[in-house]
Amino acid sequence: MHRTSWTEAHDRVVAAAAPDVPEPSAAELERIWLRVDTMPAAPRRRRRGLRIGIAVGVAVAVLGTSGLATAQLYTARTGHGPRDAEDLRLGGPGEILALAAPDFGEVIAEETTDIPFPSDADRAFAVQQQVDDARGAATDEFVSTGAVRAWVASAAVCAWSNQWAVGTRTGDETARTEAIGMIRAAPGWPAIQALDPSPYRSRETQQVQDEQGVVTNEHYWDESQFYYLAALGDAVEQRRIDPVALLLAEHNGYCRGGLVPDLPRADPMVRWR
Amino acid sequence: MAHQVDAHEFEYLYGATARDVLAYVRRRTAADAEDLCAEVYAVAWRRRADLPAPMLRRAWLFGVARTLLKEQGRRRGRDQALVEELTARPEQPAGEAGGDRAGPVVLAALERLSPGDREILRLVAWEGLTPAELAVALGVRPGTARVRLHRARQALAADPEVRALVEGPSGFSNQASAYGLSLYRSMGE
Repeated sequence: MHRTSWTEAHDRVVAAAAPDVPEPSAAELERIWLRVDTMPAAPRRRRRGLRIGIAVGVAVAVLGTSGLATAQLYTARTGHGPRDAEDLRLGGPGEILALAAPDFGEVIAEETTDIPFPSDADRAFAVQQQVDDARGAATDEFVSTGAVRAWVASAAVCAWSNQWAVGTRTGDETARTEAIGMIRAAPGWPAIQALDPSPYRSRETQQVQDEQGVVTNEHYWDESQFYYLAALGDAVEQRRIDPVALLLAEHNGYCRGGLVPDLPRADPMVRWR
Repeated sequence: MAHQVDAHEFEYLYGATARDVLAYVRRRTAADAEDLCAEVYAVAWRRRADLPAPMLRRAWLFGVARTLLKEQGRRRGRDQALVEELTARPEQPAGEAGGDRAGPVVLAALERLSPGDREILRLVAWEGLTPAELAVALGVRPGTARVRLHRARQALAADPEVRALVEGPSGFSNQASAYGLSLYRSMGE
């Protein structure tokens, strides 16, 4: 079989082939929700349609503005660490934080001050990403500082990669060199070391069943979370933008538009449409 | 740290994802998309203790929709091939494919793939799933999802008509400037 590598042109043509579907109207969404509401054991709710969601949002906003008084009673800081080894392995190291607490964003900002960003705006964006992800969390949902720090560090890698892309395109060697240094140093950042002190990659085998029920052995690479940083470090030494963007899109997950405006393909959510 | 969402959170989830889930269903079947979409959320409510982390819930809902589409086909008493077919494409085109010349060529090439490969490519390209989200939607490990995505991409890229489209003298690469891609490439390479 002829081997052809996958390119952005392939991404573009497949995305463009998506059948156009009509944008759902509010009435359609309300109708579907009413069907859900009438199914057995459905979530019982007040019959005020989708406005309920807005009302919840307003309530959150009101709580947010009175956060000072609330935070004294309910803060993201629990003072507790992982309960056991498994909790540590699955949830990450550090203090357990309450996602729904009104000071969650402030605590994240405090906990991540040592992670280098090209600008304050990038740092603020990365913190806000975490706050947005936590939106809707309940009072019994938690996350470790180790996990949050690793996610914010991932966002920092995105931001430095964007600076690298700008420097590479414009010939700003100072900006480019600084970004390369930061990306090269990222595996040693405490936020990354805490989760992935010895990046690894190993070839694994597992049995898979296809649509016809045939079971075969499938091989895949099992990589630690930040293993890709070594390849990223090598890639930024070159001057080709695409390989850097693709590495980030494949392995990072935090390169959203606000962090990579000049490296859009690093955003895994970008659709070439 | 398993968390069971309450009714308010569930409504928030619905408000944040229903448009995408409905679009997902409509791209794959001309049957009652609203009904199936409602079923997706009914399943999600019943399994609210099993929902993944908030950022992965949209992908999880796609996985539920995919399963329901297959079950819907089985209920209609079709054989396995037709079940897969139902899952794989709309019974009638839900809308015109974009991309002018490219659209029909790519859709035809997707039809020639296995249903599994086809769905993987569509989940990534049409629904914008990351590899991690793809793993959630397929119910497999991230490593497996990456392998399957890679394999599916290779299969499509090797299709002669897709190769002609992308690599040919009048292929997509030369039309890319119409979409702003040539600028991106020239900057990158």
